[in-house]
Amino acid sequence: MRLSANSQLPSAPKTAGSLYRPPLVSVCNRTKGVVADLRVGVHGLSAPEAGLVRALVVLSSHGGADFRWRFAADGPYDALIVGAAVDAAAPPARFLGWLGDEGTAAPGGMHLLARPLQAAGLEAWLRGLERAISAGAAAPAPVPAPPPESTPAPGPARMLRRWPPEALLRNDPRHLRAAALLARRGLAAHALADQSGLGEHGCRAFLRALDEQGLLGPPAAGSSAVFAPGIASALRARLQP
Amino acid sequence: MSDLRIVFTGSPGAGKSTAIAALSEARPVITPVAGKAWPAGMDLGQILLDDGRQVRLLGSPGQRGFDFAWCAVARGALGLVILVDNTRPDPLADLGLHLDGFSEELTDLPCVIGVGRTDECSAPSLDEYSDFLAQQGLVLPVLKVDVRQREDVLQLMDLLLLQLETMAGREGEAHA
Repeated sequence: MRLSANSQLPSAPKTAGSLYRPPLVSVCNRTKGVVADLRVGVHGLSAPEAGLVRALVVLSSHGGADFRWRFAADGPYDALIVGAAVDAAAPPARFLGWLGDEGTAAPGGMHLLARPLQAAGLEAWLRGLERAISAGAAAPAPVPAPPPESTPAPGPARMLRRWPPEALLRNDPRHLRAAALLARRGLAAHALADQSGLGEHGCRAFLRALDEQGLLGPPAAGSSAVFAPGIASALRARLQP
Repeated sequence: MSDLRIVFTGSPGAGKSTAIAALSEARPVITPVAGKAWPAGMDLGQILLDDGRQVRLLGSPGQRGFDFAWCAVARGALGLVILVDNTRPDPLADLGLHLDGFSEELTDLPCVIGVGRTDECSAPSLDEYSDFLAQQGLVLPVLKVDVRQREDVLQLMDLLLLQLETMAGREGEAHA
């Protein structure tokens, strides 16, 4: 049974000695005046991990009066936690998180939620997304994950308006390289892919994440990407680890 | 022979000497360049390229009193590495001092900022450094670094060289 935001909580059983179990889908925030209007779901996780995400979302909603998230069984989603690379079957979502082992690089520029998943980490990520959504004013249409075999249009050249937050870079060397390139020149995804090591799909995801946080802008007047060999390549050859 | 150099700057104790030592293949104390002698107290290292050219690694004095020399050492350089010690009383002010000192060059000079000792003092966070840079109108790589680890110093250099490769005309200047 799914409870809507306007449903009343079932009354506690009157049988002596019985334990009242609240419904898993929490609507508690509704009673506190905060509408749980943001939807988080899972795709490609095992049943126990999906259950854990659901339970942690419920815990967070009980702990914070201003927590706007609720676990949703189906899309569209504001945030989707996946357990593998996004495939064509993944439902559309604004933001993607990847449940993986600590220290590994999440594919496609997704945010890594490290195992074992804990309430604090999940809540911090969701609250960060909430701020990004709020900063974006009107809700954008959900961004579907592109199928692997698709070949999207190249897209315009963009450059950074400020250095990205640590949570987005996640100390991934490929993200750092991509950001360093975008800091100096406007680049489209296909041009960024070669130099950063992210690959074109990863670059598109990274650029999308940067764009969602308002970090990208048009290239500065007169800027253009120039990849010239010479002193830089000679230094690289000498500075091998 | 053209003077090829990368400048390391930052507050005293930020790790300039250590970073240079991690990269340098030789380390004279003072070396005359094109008839000039660098001021005393400036670390010098070098990297000898396969084609015989030398790239000097120059550590500029980080004290405020030496800021008059910063423009001179940065002008025409290949890049600038700013090292910040996060345990100092006001690391953002330290960074601001160097951003001001090199402000004329930063428009066209590859630059990367390494924040050290964040394990001893986590504030300011990297995001606060990014905010500070944005307030100055700058978009520069800023990352945590332990200059005792060569891999971390190499990562700084990688991001510096990426900028060098993408900035139009830099290669031409380097070959002049």
